[in-house]
Amino acid sequence: MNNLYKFYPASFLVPAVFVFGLFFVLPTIMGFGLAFTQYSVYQQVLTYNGLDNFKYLFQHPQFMSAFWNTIEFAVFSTILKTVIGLVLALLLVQPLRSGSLLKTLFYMPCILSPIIVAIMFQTVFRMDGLLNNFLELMHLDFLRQDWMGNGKTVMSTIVTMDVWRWSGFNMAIFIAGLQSIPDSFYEASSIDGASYWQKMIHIRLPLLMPALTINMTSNCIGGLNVFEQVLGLTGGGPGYSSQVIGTMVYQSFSQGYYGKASAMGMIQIVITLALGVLMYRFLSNKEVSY
Amino acid sequence: MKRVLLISFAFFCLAGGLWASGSQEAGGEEGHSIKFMTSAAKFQEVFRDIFAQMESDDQMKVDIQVIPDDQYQNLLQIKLTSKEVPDVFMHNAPEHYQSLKVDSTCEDLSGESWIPSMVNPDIVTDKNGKVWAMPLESGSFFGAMYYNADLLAEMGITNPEPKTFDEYKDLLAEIKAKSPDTIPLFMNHRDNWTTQIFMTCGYSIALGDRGPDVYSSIMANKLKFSDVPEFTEVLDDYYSLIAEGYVNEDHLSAGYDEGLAAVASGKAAMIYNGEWTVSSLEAEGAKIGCFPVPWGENNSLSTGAYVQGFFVPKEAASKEGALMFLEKFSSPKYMDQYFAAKPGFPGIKGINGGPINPSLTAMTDKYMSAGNTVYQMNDYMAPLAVLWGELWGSYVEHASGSMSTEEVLAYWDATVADHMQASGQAGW
Repeated sequence: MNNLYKFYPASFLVPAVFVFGLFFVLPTIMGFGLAFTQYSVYQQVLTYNGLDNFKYLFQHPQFMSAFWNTIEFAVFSTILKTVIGLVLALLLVQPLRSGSLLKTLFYMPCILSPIIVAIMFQTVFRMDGLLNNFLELMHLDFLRQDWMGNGKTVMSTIVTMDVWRWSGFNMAIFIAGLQSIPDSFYEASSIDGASYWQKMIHIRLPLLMPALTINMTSNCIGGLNVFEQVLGLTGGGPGYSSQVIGTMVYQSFSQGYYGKASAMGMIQIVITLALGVLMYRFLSNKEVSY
Repeated sequence: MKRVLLISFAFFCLAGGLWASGSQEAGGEEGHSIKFMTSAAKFQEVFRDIFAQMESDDQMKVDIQVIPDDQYQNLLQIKLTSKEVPDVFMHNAPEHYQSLKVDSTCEDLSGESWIPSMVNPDIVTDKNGKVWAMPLESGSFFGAMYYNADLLAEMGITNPEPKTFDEYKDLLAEIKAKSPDTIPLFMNHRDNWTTQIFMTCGYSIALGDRGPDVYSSIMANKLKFSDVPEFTEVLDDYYSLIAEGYVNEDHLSAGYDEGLAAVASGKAAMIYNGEWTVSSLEAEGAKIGCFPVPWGENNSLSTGAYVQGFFVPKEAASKEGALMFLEKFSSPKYMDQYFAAKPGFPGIKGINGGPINPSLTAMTDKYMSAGNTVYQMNDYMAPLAVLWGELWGSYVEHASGSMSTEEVLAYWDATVADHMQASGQAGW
């Protein structure tokens, strides 16, 4: 250990800590402070106003709608990305000739710009888009609708886009987890007469828990911080139907209400921290070692 | 410790060098390079030709940034606040002077060489006599129905001119009856600046001469939006167009460009917007006619007290280049080129405005010569300009059936009261 410190002294951390502190920790603390003030472009004097911003927000219909939309997005996108990623991983971990090609294809969406993905999906979900044309072709005209214009379906279009983008990334982590399980476990269970599902439930899933923890925690945190997906695909509309906390912060900040925007940001950070930590602890407790 | 100091010193030198090179002003003997930001609706294809000409003739390189309409106001305000600004941007002047806080964010252009050549200096001059934007036009915004004249002629409808709102609805019903596949009226609520045209014009037309008094009472906190029966009437009338099936089924997700394409192609008969749509529609080969929509029994033309303006932010990296850009653009060489492609009413003297659509000329002559025009509501409510995007969202909620007329007006009352109090407006 002493040798390690000789080659990599603690002072190497100084630039990183300085940059991180200056550009992340300090603004975050200042943001938290602003959340308890009325500070705005109209009143540029910092006046402490206690919990007024929070009271205002939790009574504001548009913010409450955005709050629940954020939770809805995080829950559904986390579950779907994880399940689809797992299914893809289980299919592609098999020896297939096209395995590498398919893995690359499924992984590729996550390297695309979110705005490009949003524009692509506008062509899918618009009234004369790919989805409605496909439904018409399948004689399912009664299902045709304005997916992005209907308040009941608009959030699902954003979830679908995000799931399409990130399932391949989840798949890659699951594949890494599956490949790290020693073959000897399967061989021993086969000798004992275990079926495919018994191997799945008693060997694969318990040993995949570390990968599941990483995927679900990062999906949940990403879901609660949703912003560019909404801005790119629906702009928060129609009306206020797909507003999320991220877009509300953006709107409030651009209107010059820095105190309120900071309060919204603080609510988002607190929820993200609380749910992220809870989920991580719950899932990591389920991990097994061998 | 010595090593730490050395590393820190090297880090700051590197960071300082990067910052210095990033903030260096482009320009010098090799010409200027500027960033020009505008919204999708304000952007015109002719800008590309003009900027290419500027690059070859004047060594002025213009990098165009086009922002989606529904994000333009928010993004612009974020940029001005964070000082990550373009060198020139377009916006409505003087409508947005207050929301952009131009006195602290933008350059005072009152001393520029093109100032004496302005056709209508009053429109862009603030109460302190300062000019914050170079006007592209001398007058703008005639809120009206712009229709595909060939399409209506095929149905036997020529020069429609409804005198009341009921007559207007009869016209839509006639179109629907004669051609069931044609969308009588195309609405595009994805871009909610188009949605609000119905109200900002409709309210003023329905109020008639009472408009200015009603608006000033609202701004002085002596009257609420929900107290004005004409607002309720216009919102109800507007919703009836949707409820009675005169509009496209994707009206909640369609954007402005889709509206233009639908009218130009004959898929839809008309669109409610401003005169800037005419040249875009004509460029697609459509013959365009227009008429103002009467609200209630009042039949007048709603217009705007604003023009498209070019602003230069105080924090522009290439301020010298930006001012030179305005000087070049205001010259007959480029202004003529602009108006040849987009005929209109030039903001600078000595410019040929180009061939204006005869139907538009007839409409403006008829209503303006009779003094039968009103200013849109927005022109009386400058302190609310920062809230427009949010407030207009409630109209879209109304169009979707999620908010009733009463809920929309109550939402306006509450949101406006919060803002007026927070921004310290007199009477609130």
